[in-house]
Amino acid sequence: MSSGRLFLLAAWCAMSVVTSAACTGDRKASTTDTLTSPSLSPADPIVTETFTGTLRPNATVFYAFTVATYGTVNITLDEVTGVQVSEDVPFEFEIGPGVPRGTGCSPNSVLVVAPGEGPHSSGVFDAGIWCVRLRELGNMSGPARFRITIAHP
Amino acid sequence: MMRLLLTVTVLLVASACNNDAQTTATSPSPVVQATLQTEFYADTLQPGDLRFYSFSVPSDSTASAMLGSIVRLDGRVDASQRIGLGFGYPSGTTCTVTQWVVTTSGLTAQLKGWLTKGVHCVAIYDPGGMTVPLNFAVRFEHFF
Repeated sequence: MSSGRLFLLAAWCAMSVVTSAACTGDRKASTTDTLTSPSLSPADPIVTETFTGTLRPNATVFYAFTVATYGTVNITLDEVTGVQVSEDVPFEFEIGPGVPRGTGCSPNSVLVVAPGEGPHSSGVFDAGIWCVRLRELGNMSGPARFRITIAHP
Repeated sequence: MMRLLLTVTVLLVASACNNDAQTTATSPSPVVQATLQTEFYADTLQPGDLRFYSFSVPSDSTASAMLGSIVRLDGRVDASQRIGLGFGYPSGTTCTVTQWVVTTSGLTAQLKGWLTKGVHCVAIYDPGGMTVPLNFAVRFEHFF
């Protein structure tokens, strides 16, 4: 074999090795990317909205809010004031996060809670428009003022 | 000889790197099956008020709304009354309107819009000038 052909063969081998390493490198990078791609860890709440209003006996009210990114949403029924409830009935209300639907809010789940320190409802939500619904359970004798705090990403 | 080596090298590169392309091309893609849905919303609108109805669309798509009737509470049709009709998104205790028209009632869609995937609302509101409550009926179509 002439020295020229020997040189060409050596050059081809070197190029093949480099090319193979490059492609293998890509594959490894791709596999690694898949394995180490950022997991969907929920974002913390950074926005707080306050929903206040008047709640009447047996009535429901709702409030829509926008979650900017997949993350944790905390909902607290802070207080219900201005109404007297007899001592033999619980001072509790139904609260639930959900999706605005029709003329109301269709809750995904509901909880019966007493107003006070929370959060009463905490969950991980996708980005989008959501709502919280508050329902009076028939324990109140008249209208009352309420305050709900919604913390979300 | 040199041409042969170059050709083999190019083929090796192409075949080695082509595997990734095939993997990418055969990865599953989500398919959204959407069907057109017609909904009706009827209520009473007070002067200065806004009423709304929420709905969801599974993907970016068109929607239309028709303000079919405006009737006074005594049953008299008010064909000359102009009302706001819009699409928007639920926000707080209201619907934030982003596309709208001020129109009289009719039997063709007065509002046609483009909605992004997600939750939206159709709103009926007093654009100013209403003096008495009015019953209204809206028919709207969107993908579901």
